[in-house]
Amino acid sequence: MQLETRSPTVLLPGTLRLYLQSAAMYAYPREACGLLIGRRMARQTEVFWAEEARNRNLLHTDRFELDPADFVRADGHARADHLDVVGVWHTHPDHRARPSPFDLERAWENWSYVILSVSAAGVVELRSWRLMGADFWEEAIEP
Amino acid sequence: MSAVTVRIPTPLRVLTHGADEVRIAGGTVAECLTALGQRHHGLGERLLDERGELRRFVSVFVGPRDVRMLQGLATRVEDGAVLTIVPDVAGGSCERFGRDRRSGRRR
Repeated sequence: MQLETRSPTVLLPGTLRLYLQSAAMYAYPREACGLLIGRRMARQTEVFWAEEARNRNLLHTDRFELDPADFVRADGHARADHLDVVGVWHTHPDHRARPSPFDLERAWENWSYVILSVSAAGVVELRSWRLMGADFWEEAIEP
Repeated sequence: MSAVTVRIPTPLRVLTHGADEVRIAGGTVAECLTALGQRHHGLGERLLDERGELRRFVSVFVGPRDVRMLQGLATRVEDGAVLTIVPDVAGGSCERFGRDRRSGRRR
């Protein structure tokens, strides 16, 4: 994982961060997941809202599989407002907010991946990553 | 043949010259995906494997329903149907997954 000198930016309003933090704490110790809706430009992604999705993986607390029906629903909401699904958010309970090897294996290009590290005491950190080539690069987060 | 709309997810739009949806003609999901692949080079391989089956990490919905819960690629599509290509979204901290990868085992 690398941090580019001029890293791409994701615009994440404070209210949206609070929503994600709340969802992360509510789901703890299980992983929560969802989609980011907004507009993608060359080096900047503007997120307008986030939608929580069902985690279909009920066997493991350390991974998620987003219900594809929830993707279709969120994609429909986004298109109705002439926006797109621009990324994925999920939580890492009791782990750092860095992509895991499993995150890397299952990632798609051209999406932002917001990861929240959460412990029993609350959200520890929130970071955003983008797959470019074979590796994740960190995105700067701005309000 | 029915005229259907195929919704393209953001990660695959590099293969449709940025188009977020494509109008296509076909009588079944298989025919629609094949036509889509013929129109947009490289897209067919991302959706279907060498045997013509839907790839593991992709789903296709007709309206709100997963074709895997219908008749698969043989699912018939009506005029005006909306197909959504859904990239499989998964991940997680997966400490055990990392250990298994390093030891050469996969779960």
